[in-house]
Amino acid sequence: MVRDLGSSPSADGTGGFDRYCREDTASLIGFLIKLGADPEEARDAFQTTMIEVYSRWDNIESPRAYARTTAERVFLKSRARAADESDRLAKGGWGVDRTPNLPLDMVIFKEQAAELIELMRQLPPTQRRVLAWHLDGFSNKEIAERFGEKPSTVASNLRHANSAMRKLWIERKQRAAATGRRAADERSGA
Amino acid sequence: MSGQERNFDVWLRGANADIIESLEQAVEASEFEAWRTEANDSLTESLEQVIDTEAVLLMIKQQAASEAVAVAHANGNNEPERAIRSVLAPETTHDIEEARRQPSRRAPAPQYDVDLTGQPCPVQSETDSPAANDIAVVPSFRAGSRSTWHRRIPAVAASAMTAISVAVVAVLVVLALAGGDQVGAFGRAVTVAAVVMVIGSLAARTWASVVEWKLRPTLVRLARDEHSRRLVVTARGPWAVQFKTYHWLHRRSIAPRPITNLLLMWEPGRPRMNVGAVLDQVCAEHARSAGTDGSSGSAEREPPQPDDRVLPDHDQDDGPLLARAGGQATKVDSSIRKKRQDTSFRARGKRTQAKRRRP
Repeated sequence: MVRDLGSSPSADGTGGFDRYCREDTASLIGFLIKLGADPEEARDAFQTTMIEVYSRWDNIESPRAYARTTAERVFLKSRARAADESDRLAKGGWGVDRTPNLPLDMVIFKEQAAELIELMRQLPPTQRRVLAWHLDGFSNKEIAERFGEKPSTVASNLRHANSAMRKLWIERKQRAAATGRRAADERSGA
Repeated sequence: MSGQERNFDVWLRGANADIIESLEQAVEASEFEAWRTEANDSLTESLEQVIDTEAVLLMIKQQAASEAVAVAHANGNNEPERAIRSVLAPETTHDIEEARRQPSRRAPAPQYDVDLTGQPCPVQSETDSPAANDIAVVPSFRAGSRSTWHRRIPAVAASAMTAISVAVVAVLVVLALAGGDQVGAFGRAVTVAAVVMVIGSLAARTWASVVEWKLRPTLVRLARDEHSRRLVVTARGPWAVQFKTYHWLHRRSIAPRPITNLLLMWEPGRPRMNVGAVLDQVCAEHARSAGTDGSSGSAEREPPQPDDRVLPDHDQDDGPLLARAGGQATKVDSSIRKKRQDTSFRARGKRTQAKRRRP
């Protein structure tokens, strides 16, 4: 049963949704960005997801997991649609109207966050997906339940993701250190 | 150093290097874990800084409501408020009906206005909280939120006329049967008039029902237009056909303005436009824009609405709509018909685009 939108939130329990929405909005958008969405895609997928969560609030047992599963699906669908968008634009000349509802275009990520996003985008999709769920606080068992896989598979994917990312991170750190040393040498030489 | 000792020394060095490497890796791993957690928190923090969760919450609820309205309308329900309530929560319908019966318990209806684009916007007061607005999910225009008794006048009048006519006919028939000479010429005239009234009234009602029944599927489809949907489906009574006809004409580029603009001229208490007047206006404007009356007129035409580009069109079903709507089809000249054909050809392309864009 979909809850009546016209009744009082405090009386009918949509207060729970309000609370959830307040707590999980940034995290859910961050999850989508970690999956590889750009802020605009993340915003669109987030809106669609939250509308679905809101309309099924009473039937959802674990909203965070449900929202992430839905958001992931919506994002992947929109990606697939966007893949042939250029073709459609060339044929029909119709653009996609996107209204800026969330000010995500103004997001300026801190250095660490930007680095995390960049490193995660270099991972293969499966590993990225598992790592995104893991970073949002889900255990291997929960992730396995959601994906319909064995916990050992999830653990393996996560281990590979961690190791690949750590490797990238170390390389990056070493590159940064080398750059710093070179700059220091140049300064001392000058 | 014997060979055995040398081998042991090599193994020892190797083992020592492994231990050091493992320790370094462990340190790096913990450092990496810390960095990863910190970066993840930083990402969420960056997003939290730019997102107004209250506004997001309100927007989500409004969009959810809007989608629910669309679903209800797509199911062919022309009474949005009741439809939404029945779709969303049948168990609350009883409470609503009860509240209607007891006006003292009724909560004040949210006031909505129509902005320049025709979209309903809440009339905000300084004390309005977001929570108060998000309850007002069923868009109801200011005009619609007032008493709607005047909308029932035609139906009530028709019923009363029918009842009176039937009564008169019955009395006269009884009198005629009782004593034919007493009725006289005047009585016969009254009887004929009453019979004509009854037949006319029944015919009018039947015609209206048939028109509505025939038009309903088309109008439901027309109502999918995002901008005009609410206006078209909330139109009732004698104005419904006018709005719908006008909307239909606009979709074929015959009427230059969207119905949202037309609605701004429509307020309760003002004399209503009739179908003939609307069509005359439309034809005149079209003639002006086509340059048949000497002026170019094309500069007055508004640019096409964005929703018109993507929504499916339904030419095959809508053809006889104009004639059915008001019998004014003869006023649409051949140039308009030609234009309509062109539009329908173009609309085929639009349909294809709309299908592709649909998820």
